[in-house]
Amino acid sequence: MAEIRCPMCSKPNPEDADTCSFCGARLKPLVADSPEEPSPVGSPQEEGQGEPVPDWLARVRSKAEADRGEDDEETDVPESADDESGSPDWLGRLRQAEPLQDEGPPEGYIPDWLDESSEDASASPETEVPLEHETPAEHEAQAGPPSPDRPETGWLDRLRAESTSEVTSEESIDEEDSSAPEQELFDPGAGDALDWLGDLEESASDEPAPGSAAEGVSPWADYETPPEAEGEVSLGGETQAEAPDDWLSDLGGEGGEPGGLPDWISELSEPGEEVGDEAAASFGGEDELPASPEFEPSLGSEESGLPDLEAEPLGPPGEDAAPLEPSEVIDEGQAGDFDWDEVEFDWDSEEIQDKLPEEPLEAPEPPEPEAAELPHVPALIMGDADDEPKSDVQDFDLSTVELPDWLSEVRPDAGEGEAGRGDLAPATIPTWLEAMRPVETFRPVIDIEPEEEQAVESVGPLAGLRGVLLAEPVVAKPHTATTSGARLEVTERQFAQAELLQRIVEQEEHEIPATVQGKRAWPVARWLVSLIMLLAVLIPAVAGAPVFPIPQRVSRDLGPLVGIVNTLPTDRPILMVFDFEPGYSGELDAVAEPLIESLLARGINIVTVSTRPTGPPLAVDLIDKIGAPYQIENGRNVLHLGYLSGGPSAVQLFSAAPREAILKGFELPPEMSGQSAWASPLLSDVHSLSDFGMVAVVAAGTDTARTWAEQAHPWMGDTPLVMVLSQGAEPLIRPYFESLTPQVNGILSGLPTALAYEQLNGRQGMAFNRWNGFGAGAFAAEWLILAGAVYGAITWFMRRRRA
Amino acid sequence: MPELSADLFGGLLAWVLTLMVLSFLIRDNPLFRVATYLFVGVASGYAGAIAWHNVLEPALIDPVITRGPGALLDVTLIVPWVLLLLLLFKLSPATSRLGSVSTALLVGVGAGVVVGGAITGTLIPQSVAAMATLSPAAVTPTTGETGLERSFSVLVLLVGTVSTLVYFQFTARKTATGEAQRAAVVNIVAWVGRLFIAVTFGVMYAGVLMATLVILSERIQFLVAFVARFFTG
Repeated sequence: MAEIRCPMCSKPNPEDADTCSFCGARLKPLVADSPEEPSPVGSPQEEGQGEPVPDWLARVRSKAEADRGEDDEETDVPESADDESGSPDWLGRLRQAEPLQDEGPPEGYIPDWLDESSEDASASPETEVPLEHETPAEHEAQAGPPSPDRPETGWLDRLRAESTSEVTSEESIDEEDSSAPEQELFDPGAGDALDWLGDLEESASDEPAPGSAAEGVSPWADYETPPEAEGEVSLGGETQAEAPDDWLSDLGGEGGEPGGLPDWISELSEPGEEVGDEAAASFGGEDELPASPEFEPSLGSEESGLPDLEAEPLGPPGEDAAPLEPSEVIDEGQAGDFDWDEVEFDWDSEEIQDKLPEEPLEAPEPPEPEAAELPHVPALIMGDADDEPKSDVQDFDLSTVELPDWLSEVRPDAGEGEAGRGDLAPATIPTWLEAMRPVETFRPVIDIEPEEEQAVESVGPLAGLRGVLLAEPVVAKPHTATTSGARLEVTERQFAQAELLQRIVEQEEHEIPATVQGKRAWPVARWLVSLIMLLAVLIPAVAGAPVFPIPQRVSRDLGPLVGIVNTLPTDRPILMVFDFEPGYSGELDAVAEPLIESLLARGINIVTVSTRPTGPPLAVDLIDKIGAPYQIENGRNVLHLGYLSGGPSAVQLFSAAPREAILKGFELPPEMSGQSAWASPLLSDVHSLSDFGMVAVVAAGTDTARTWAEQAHPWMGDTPLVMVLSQGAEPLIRPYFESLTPQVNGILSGLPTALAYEQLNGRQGMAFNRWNGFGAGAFAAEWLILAGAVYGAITWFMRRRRA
Repeated sequence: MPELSADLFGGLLAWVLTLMVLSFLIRDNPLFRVATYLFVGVASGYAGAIAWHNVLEPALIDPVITRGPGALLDVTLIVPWVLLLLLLFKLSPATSRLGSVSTALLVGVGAGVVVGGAITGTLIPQSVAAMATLSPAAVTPTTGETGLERSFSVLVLLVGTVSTLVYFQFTARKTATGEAQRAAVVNIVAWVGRLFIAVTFGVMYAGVLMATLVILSERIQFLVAFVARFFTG
């Protein structure tokens, strides 16, 4: 389904919609009621809205706009002619656009004026043109008044406005000649066209220029037919008649190049000379121009972008038109005001003689007869430019022709031309091109209309008001990928976070001033808590009270450990790893004591190692302390391998090849001085980690315990791995213990479990001695935590109540 | 009063240093700082001595002494020596680049061992164990859970594992306001996972607190015992 893009908000709307469903703007301009039937060719209104301007014409205009400045510098006559005398911009554009190769009438198209000539001459079938004739009045009635919604040119607006008041003259024209549209092409009011006509005149014929004013002969004296004889056509005479003839003959010359001549010209070249002669006769001496109804809309309508030549007289038609005062033409400057029946030129008058050129028109250098320099026919007929064969013909430069002053004065003001261009540029952009325009540069051209015709604001606080700037064209402007892709979407939250980050970074750059040593508050709370905790631990140690009951329930974790220890073979030493810092010895000594004691009680030899430099002395101190009652001897019941350097790598190396990882030993017995620890008979059967009866890791941190579980477990075989842990590390090691295929076979953690183990061994050790102090401290800590929670809740409640 | 012996002197020094450290309860003071500096220095010196006696001397010096200069032809001895000497170049900024070889070897081997051990020793076994443990019919050999207890443990394990993983799922959809918004169900599950994480951290903190209480109790008992020993002989 065809869509109409709203000129206000650029949103697509159904083709039959009158107003935009988004912004309420009128899509179709208000057209005055006309009894005439719409033209089958397509009215300008339709052209402006539904159907875009043909591409070839759009290119012509854009090309003309772009090259205007360059041509102004390069050309001699046209610049002044355009600027001073107000040459119509359409002609300038055509002049600029002549190099375009894809212009011209569609293939097979024949103007009616040629058609009639052909009929007269050879009755060619090409003269049958299906398009209906449309009078200018009908055409303009369909076009309706200018509307900002409809792309139009400024000159066209003017012409339309003028034409509405010149119906009378047009009717008179129609009375004389029903082929009035053809007369538009050579309308005397279109004095702007005389530059190219003059060019044609000079380039097409070798005849001398018209007589100069000094000779008292009108420059139009050589023209054969007076204006009356030619009807409405002001350009009679031989020159004007020969111009199209030469033009056609030149094009016929191009016919040697198949690609350079449009088909319709080629087809015309078949009757060739007959048509040309007939056309020349009709132009030059016959009564009127042949009728060409199809040609009319392309010349005088908005479709073609050409001015309505009918509305503008083209200057003195010839010598016989002397009764018409050129000054009238100049003064009125509007062809539509002329009634050529009443116009008489007095070519002998001084006024017109002053305006005529003093010297005969100097024809420019005649174009070379080569095909490459033949003039190119501008596209005056609407059609599909793509169907036309492209020609590499160079057009002749119309601007090189010097025009008489009176022709220059006939031209409209330059300001009007500029204004026309300004109106033309944005309005004639096709919809597809309009859609491709970047959004930022999209500025809908809105002509200020009377307030009663302006659209009513539909949204926002100004809804219901007229005469306000519409918000929707701005708010609801279409988004294109070019803008949305390049724009970073930042939400308010992200923006706030970015600002916060910026402030943080800026604060980092600021130098923090030295804090003034003020009066510091005493840490009373710290003192109070410390005092409570110290007293809680001290009182049981000093007074032996309060006594906390020993836990009767044995931890479930203790069962597997006791089972492992009780089933250990006594002929194989166990490896005990002391991987903790001295600060944790107060806890881990008490926890590991029952395990070591049970091992020594069973007569199992112990070998110690540590991955920390401070580990070996801790091992020596603890085992000596615990083994004293069992009369253990260093080197016989216990052996210290010492420090195992290298962290996890050393653990893996020790697991794979213990003898290569430990080269010496720590606190070896005197008889082993200078020897390696592996020389001890205690380790005679140990060559790998699996040769130990058990591996017990005493660790305070999870990393150390996990390192042994990861690195040593693959090399242990059936040797159980036991962890003696600080209570803080136990939660993270427990998964290794509770899995279906446990990597840790036993866990001993915490003072309560150690106390239970002591009770199981039937002996009171360090765990028991510290139990009351630990219990009192835990009790105090619990109350302190509870008191702190209550204090916090009260403070929060009071602060909330105050707020 | 007992005679002044090394044991008594050591005990006295330990008693004084313990009080110096506990003086931090009042506030930060020079006594606490002296004690900490002393501990750091002693630990470093002792670690250096241990490294020399247990590592460097038996691994690098003793082979050369016992086997003579011909031991330097042993590749297993040359390589450690070369690496050691290169590592010494780190002492000077101008020649520190030469020591990068030893550093790179240490870092590379250490990282490889740690990552490999974590994958083969923790990640894969724990993942397999987590899946296998979800079976109510399975009985862990260490805890011996069965029946309802086992089912409850499995349920807690399942919910805790899934919800904790969901909590660390930070992928969300972008709302119209540009904010990342997770689905409501995901938010609820993540909130449960956050509870599990909080409980885990709470348990770890409680364990550390219990450990420190044991250590405090040991130190107080030491102080009291030393004083009693000092006065009672």
